[in-house]
This record gives sequence, structure tokens and C-alpha cells, in this order.
Amino acid sequence: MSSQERADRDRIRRFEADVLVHLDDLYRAALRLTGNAAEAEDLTQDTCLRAFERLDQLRSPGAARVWAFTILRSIFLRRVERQSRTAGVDVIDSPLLEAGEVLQDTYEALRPIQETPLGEVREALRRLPLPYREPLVLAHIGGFSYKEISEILAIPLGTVMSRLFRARRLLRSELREPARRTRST
Amino acid sequence: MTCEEVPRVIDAYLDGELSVAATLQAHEHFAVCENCRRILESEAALHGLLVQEARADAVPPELRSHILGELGTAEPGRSRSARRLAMRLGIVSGFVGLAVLGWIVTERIGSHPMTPLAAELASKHLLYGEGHGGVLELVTSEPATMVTWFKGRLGFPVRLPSVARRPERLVGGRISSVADSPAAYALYDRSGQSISLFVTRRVPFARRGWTERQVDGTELYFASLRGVSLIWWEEKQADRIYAAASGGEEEALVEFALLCIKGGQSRPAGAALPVRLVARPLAAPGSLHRRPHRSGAS
Repeated sequence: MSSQERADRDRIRRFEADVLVHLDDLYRAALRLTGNAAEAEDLTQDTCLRAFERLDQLRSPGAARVWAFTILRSIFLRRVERQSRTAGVDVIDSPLLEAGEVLQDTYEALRPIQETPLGEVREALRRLPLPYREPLVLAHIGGFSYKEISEILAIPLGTVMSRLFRARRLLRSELREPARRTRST
Repeated sequence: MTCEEVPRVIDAYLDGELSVAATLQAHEHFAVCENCRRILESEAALHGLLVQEARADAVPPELRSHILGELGTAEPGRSRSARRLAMRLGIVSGFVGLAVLGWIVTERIGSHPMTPLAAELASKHLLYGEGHGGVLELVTSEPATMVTWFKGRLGFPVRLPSVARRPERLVGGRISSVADSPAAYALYDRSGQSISLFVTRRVPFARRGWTERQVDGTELYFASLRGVSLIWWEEKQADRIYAAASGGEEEALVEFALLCIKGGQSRPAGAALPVRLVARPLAAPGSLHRRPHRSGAS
């Protein structure tokens, strides 16, 4: 085996160990961002191939997960822009909610939320505006900390918290009224 | 913590983003406030629902091999459209699990000195092990299933004890973090008492503030904080530390630690330990319970 072949094989091994180990979660995140299995596969594959091309830029194995999700989001946003489906991503932020904005009565009025069918949850998630859906996907699928989400989305930490807070309140509201279909991506 | 503050911190509490001090304050508030506890349970259920939803996917089982196939034949810089076309072929479905990472910034609580490691382990035990639901990413009683699940997410092997014929029962696990490093978290139940097991990379200065004891030929490090007994030990060959936490009796926790160390080959539950360990009252909130050294200081 030539030294070049050995180097290529080592590179692929490193890619498998550092990046491909996150493949399942990358795909799940892609599925929730695109809402479509074929597009999610395509997005995941493009993400992996770009990560492989740029593997030398990866600082350390510990940074690989954030790095891979950042690539995935970057490719996804470019596609969204190309398809002109984006809807004012930068204009929806508002200050952190005050405690009074939490509708405590929803906790009383709701059916036990754990009984909600997962299909309804998925639908409600799909209807969330992208800026709210993104941090939820990163938190619940990526398992990222607020700081990491802030890094991936390139937004301040306070905005991450604000978006997550609003996202969950919106989701709860959607789950309370599953028939309502007022939001779209 | 007051009822008015709860809505502002509840997400961060469930996401493991509160400081250790705030986590413990929230925990204490939830223990005495039924209304806030109801809100917490509802929020935890929503978090749990999102975790379940995230797990309910069919991931194309050939996705990985397709990508690897492309890597094997492609040079960096090869036409992306050509690769995309090739990779769109033949993808079908399968099932896999999910990882959620969490972390809590370590710090001191008020004026009570304690080690960051003890504080982090105690607060995470209270957060994950006290039945708020939705915090486990995989619910299984099968150690082998749990081990496989961890391996796919952490990139390092985790050993879990066999609990057959033992009073402990594996409940499930999740990905967590300890000292900002990824960690496996497994939850056990022993007669209604939660036992948490953490596995992570070696933590710098971990011994500081802990009490070392030789038990059954193994060095164990002890601490106690806010009613939580804590023990950790090293798996030197693998460069890992294992840590167990429980609000129950310390002797049962030592028994569990030895079970973990011996991989399930240890003595039956309740059998006498080689070193007599007297169960002590747990430390007062905020204090670090120091015990006399039996052999060598850490």
C-alpha cells in the first residue's frame, strides 16, 4: 500500500470517528429542517461530503459535532434562500418573555401533554417558524447546550434562550389546538 | 427561589443550563411548592414528548454506506452534483436512537465550600434521578442495549454492571456531561431509591475535596452534598471515571459501586462488605460531608 493510500485511509477513518458517528442525529435534524425525507437524505449527504472535504479545518474531535451541525445548517439555509422560502428570519426576535407571559392556565386546561400522539407533535413542530424550530431541533436532537446553539446559529445566548422559550410556548399552544393551522414555514 | 421566578428558569432547569446553585434552589422550591411542581411536570412532559418525537424516525440504513462509498472513490473537490446524483440511489429506512446533551456550569453555592465535581454530580442526580420524566433519552432495563446506545453516541465504551439477581434495576439513560466533557448517564432504581451512574473522561483535580477510602482493594472517593451521597472511582486503563450518586444509604451506594467495578460479579445484595462502612447521616444542605481517611489522602 502506497503512502498516499495509507493517508487516504487514515483520513476516512478519522472522518468516520469524528463526523460520521453523528450521522443519525444529522439526518434527524435535516428531516425536521426540510420536512421531507428525500431532501433530508440529500442534505445529510452533502453535509457529510463537505465535512470530509474540509476535515483539515476541524480543530479537534470534540468540536466535530458542533462543526458538522454548523455545516448542515449552512447548506440548508443556502437552499432555503435559493428556493425563496425564507420568511423574515431576522425580524422575529424580541426581548425575553416576562414571567407573566407564561399562561399558567394552560397547565390546568390541557389534556395531559404526555398523551399527545407523536404525529401531532411532529406536525406542530413542522409548523413552527424556522427561527423557532432550529433551536428546538438543536436542543432536542443535537443535545446541544445553549452556548453551542448560539455558536451554530450565530446568534447571542439571550436570543437562543428567548427563541427556545417562545418555541416551546408556541408548540404547547399548537398542541392545545391541533386543529389550528395558522403558521407555516 | 420564588414562584414568580420559576417560569423564567424552568426551561433552563430542564435543559440543564442553570448554575448548580440555581438548580439546587429550584429543586428545593419544587419540593415544597405543589403548584410549581405541577408546572414543572407539565413542562418536563413537553420536553419528554420532544425527545420521543425525535427518536421516532426511520433513518435510511444505507445512508452511511452510501456516504462511505462516495468517500472511498471521491477526491476532495470532486463535482458535488455528480456525487449528489450518485448518492440519491437506493436509500431505505431503519430505526435508531437519539442523543441529548446537557450541561450545567459548576460553581460554589453561597458560602459553603464544595468541589465543582461534587456539586455537578449532585445537581444532575437531583435533576435526572428525581422522577421529573422526560429526561431519559432511552428507557431500557437491558444493560447491553444501553451500552450499545452509549457507544454510538459517545465514541468511547461504557461498562454497565449486570444487575440480574440484584435489587437494582436499570431504568434507562441519557447523554450528559461532566466537567464539560460528554458523559454517559444511567439511572437505576433500588427499591424505589434512584441511583445515578455517570461515566466520563478523567476530570482534572477531581480528588480535591473528596475523601479517599480503600474498599475491597479499590480506591473510592466519597462526598456528600444536599442529601446526596456521592462516590467516584477511576477505570485507569480506559482513562475514565465512574461516579455514582444516590439519596439513599451510603452503604447501598458502595455496594452498587463495587458491583460496577466488578461488572456484576460482586457479592449478592446485602452481603457484608470487606470494610465496615457505617451509614452516616447525610450532610446538611450546602455542606460537604467530610469523612475520616482510612488510607491515604487524595
